[in-house]
Amino acid sequence: MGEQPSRRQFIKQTTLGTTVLVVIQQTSAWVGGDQAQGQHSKTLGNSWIDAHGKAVYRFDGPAKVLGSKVYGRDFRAKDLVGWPQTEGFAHILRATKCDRPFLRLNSSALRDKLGCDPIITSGDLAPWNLKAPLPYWTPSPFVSIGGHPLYFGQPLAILFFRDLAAYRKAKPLLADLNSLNSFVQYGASSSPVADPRPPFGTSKFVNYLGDTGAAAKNADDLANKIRQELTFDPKKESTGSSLNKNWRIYQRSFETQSVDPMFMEPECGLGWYDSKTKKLSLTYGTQSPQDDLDGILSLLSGENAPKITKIQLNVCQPGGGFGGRDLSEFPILLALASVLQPDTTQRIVYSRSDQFQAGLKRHASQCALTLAVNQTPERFGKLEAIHSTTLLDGGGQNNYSFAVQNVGARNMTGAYDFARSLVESEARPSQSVPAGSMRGYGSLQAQFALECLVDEIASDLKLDPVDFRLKNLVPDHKPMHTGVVPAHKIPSRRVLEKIQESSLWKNRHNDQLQKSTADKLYGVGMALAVKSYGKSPGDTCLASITIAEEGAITLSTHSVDMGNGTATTLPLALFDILGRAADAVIMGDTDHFTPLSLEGPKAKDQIDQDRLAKNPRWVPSRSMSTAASAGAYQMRHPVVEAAKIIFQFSIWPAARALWGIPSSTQTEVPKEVLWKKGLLTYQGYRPLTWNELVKHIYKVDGITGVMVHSFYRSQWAQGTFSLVMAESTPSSPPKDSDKTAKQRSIQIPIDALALKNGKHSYQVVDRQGVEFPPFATLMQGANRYTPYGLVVAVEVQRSAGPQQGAIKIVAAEGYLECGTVIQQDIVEGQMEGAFAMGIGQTLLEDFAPAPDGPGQGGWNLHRYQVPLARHCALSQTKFTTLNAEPNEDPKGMAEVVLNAVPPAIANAIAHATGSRIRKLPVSAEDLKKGLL
Amino acid sequence: MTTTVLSTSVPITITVNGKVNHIQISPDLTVAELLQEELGLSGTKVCCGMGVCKACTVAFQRPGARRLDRIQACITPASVVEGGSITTVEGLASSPTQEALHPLQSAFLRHFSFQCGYSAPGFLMGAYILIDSLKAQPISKHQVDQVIEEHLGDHICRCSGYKRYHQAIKEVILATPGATRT
Repeated sequence: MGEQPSRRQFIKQTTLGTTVLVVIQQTSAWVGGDQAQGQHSKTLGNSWIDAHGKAVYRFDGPAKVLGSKVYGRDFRAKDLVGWPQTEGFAHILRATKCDRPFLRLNSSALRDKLGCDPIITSGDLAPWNLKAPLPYWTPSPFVSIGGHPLYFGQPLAILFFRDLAAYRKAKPLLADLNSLNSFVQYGASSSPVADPRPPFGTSKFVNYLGDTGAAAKNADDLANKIRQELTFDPKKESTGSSLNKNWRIYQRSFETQSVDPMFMEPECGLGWYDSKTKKLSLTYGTQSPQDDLDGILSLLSGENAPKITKIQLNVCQPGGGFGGRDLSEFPILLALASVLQPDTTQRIVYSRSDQFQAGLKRHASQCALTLAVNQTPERFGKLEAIHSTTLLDGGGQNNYSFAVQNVGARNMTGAYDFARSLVESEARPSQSVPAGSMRGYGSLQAQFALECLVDEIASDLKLDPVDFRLKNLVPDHKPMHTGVVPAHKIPSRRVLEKIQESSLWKNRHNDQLQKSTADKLYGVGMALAVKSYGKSPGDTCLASITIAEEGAITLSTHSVDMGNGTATTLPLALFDILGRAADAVIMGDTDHFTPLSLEGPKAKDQIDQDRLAKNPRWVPSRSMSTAASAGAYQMRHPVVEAAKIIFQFSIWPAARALWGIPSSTQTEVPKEVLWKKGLLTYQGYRPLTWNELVKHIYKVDGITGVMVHSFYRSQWAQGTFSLVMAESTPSSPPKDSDKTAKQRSIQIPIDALALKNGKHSYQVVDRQGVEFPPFATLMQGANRYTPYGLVVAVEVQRSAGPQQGAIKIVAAEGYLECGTVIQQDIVEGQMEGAFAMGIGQTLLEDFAPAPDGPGQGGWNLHRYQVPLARHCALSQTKFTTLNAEPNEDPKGMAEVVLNAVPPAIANAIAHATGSRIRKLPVSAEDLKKGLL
Repeated sequence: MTTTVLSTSVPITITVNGKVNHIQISPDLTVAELLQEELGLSGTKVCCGMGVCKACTVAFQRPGARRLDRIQACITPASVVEGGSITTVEGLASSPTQEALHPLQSAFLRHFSFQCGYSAPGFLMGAYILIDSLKAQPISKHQVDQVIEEHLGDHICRCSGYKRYHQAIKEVILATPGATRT
């Protein structure tokens, strides 16, 4: 960089494509690796994989069983080379009243009692003219002086403590809510008023016999038509006739509660702002490093705000995420604390209580669901129409609520085919703690309602629940209710057939007779979840593969492993192509991709996209946050494509040269060229070792690194690039005259490319042409789906007494079709973990409603019960992945395996007790009525 | 041997992972704070800070005692461990190499027991203490599942669903000489 850039230039440049950002992800190592500074990943060799290319342990496992420093909470200033050793602490004081204005803090008393200084409120920050970190966020994270807090737990002030001793001394008072509130002066309370803010997001999907109402008026007409046809006759109680006498109408209301992701490591981190260089350094765990940094720069983009010339982010391995670290406010607060106390290291260390008060939650939901089923002999049991109206509680900040409600609506019809559908969804602001993109992303709420009602209808029609579902599956290649045509067959039928074969399901009636007693009722229920994976605006995926001179492969990606296993599965993707996995992995690496020289802005329409695409550096989106279900398919894609380029344009030419095959006779790689036990083989030629090949590649300045950017939105962007093969014969030294430049133009499913030759640095390869997905697909949403079926057996305490109504999970069998399984242990682990989390959602986890909810403070695990091993029937659960079709892509699966759990348990309870569950969490009190 | 002087002053002597430390500490310092802030051992994890989740479990050997006790480092005052010996996750392996891992560490890796891994040190130490107690009072093989539940059933993990933790621990117990009887 030359001169100090202007603010505007700087913001533009601090997305990918400059040297401004430095992002470092902690990596795994058997030895050493306790220094946060620098990319210290050590070569593990390939001892962590077996001969078949499967991991024998998680790549990040050794560091975690050794207790090495990998999480944000592990680091101190003394661990960070060059950081100031003066370590101060910042504490966020939060609002506990929303019905009255915040007037002031009793600062002098706070200083005296707590020993904190300075104390910063919105008034102090006013000169900085803070800008909204994200377009849909409130401009300042803090409650304005004289204004009503928007939500419980909204920050009022930052309290600074000079050191750990001072902070520790204040902690008892900080944990004493009554004491703490005495320092906060509010105005007079006023009667509750409706939140003046508009909805955070609204969706409406209409489909009437294939007509999705392209014109707004047409859509309204179709919607009204569906409403009329589904008119409910209250005289018929649970079911009633409609205008269409052939249908039976079922209209029910469902509620799901807000829960906390309760990832094990409360958010925490360190920051340092150097007032001389204006560099901001941050160390913490996140799912969204790029968005965090963009948000910080936006926040501080006011004229009088402290200038930032560079941000260094050490991305630590998150101690859990589940969406709770995606666009969290924590990084914003850490950055603010750092610039407010420059030239010191500032730590913010949330306690669990702080995390409950401040951390992103799942959206609570209310869903009014109406289904129509045909009752004529000709079409008996055929679902005919659906109308759903879902309201999601977004809490006080629009943190992905606009997207969560939309994804929920897109997944509202699950696996089923409805000739008529009207799906409406809205996320609204409230005074609750902000809700975010927690695992399931709106689809958990949708599929709880759908799968419970589908099950109830089957029961009411005296149809087998699996047969009923089979009868109503979306046919292959038929558009979903949104109009989206799935990119592949959704193998729901295979999943349901497996359920039919499962012993738990087959024997459910006999088991119920045998296992139900005077004290306990036994029941078995099932649910089928289908969840799309991928992001509506498109999936942006970055990866590079770099081969060191001694042969070690380093894989870099901008995605973060939050426990979902991508640090293991992504390096494994190399095995089939390069004969070995990566030796080192760097996750959350953003600055590394600077050589791609990516450019924006976002296109506004097709004409704009076509115009922008002429710029060989332009891409529709430069980076995205890590979503759990995007690892297997989307994030793996650039890794595979980079490996293919290395193989075709570097390994193969080297092998050809070493084997003495003239380049003119073999430009394509023959299919007989195969890796066997780490050696590259070809009929009649001597096997080549990896190191031999790499040595040759370096000799001829061949490709030693490939860096790619890929973009998926219903299909992959296809770029055309001109690549050069550098070759020489093995018997002669690499003189210029020996090199044969072979230039080839190829089309690859990536949209940006940089190459590294020999020891040189990465250089961008300008795109010669590109086919981006049509702009219209922006509104279509994801088009890939994964099905998961779950059978659950429960026991419900029947006899009177304190345990009456208590529910116990006694067995479960899950069946997942997730395409090619990259690593069985990791997939099964996701299924097992989701089962536990689903039990918590269904039976255990709950908050008191505001004003006694988590935003009020004082919440911890003594009053928030998460599932323990004893809740999960460990020895009686079996999770199975179905065999994939040959060469089938892996499918995203981390969310769908959660979605089936609540309805399967609810349906099992219904089987046991006859009581239909429509509200979560299920309480013993609710069940008692049906048991007496 | 390390000596650290803090601003407030209660002298204690504590052995951590075989290393003797003479330290002056604040009287209300917890074992977790002692380990993390004073000794730089961050392997012991704090999650709830109130002894519920068991992520902070460490093994404690009282002076003169033969067997290990479990303590929750987040709520136990450091003064309580005066004169004793603590083993943390950092002390399980004799060296940070694959070959030198404790059998529990190897089993956790082999079974893919954890995901984010934040609860792993607590499970490791809880199982370590359990195996120590089983060596003194072996159990029947058919009791292993029940004993794991009794001793580790309150440990919280949010990612894994517990199954693979229990499988790994069971495998190590069954393979540990003297922990079970036929």
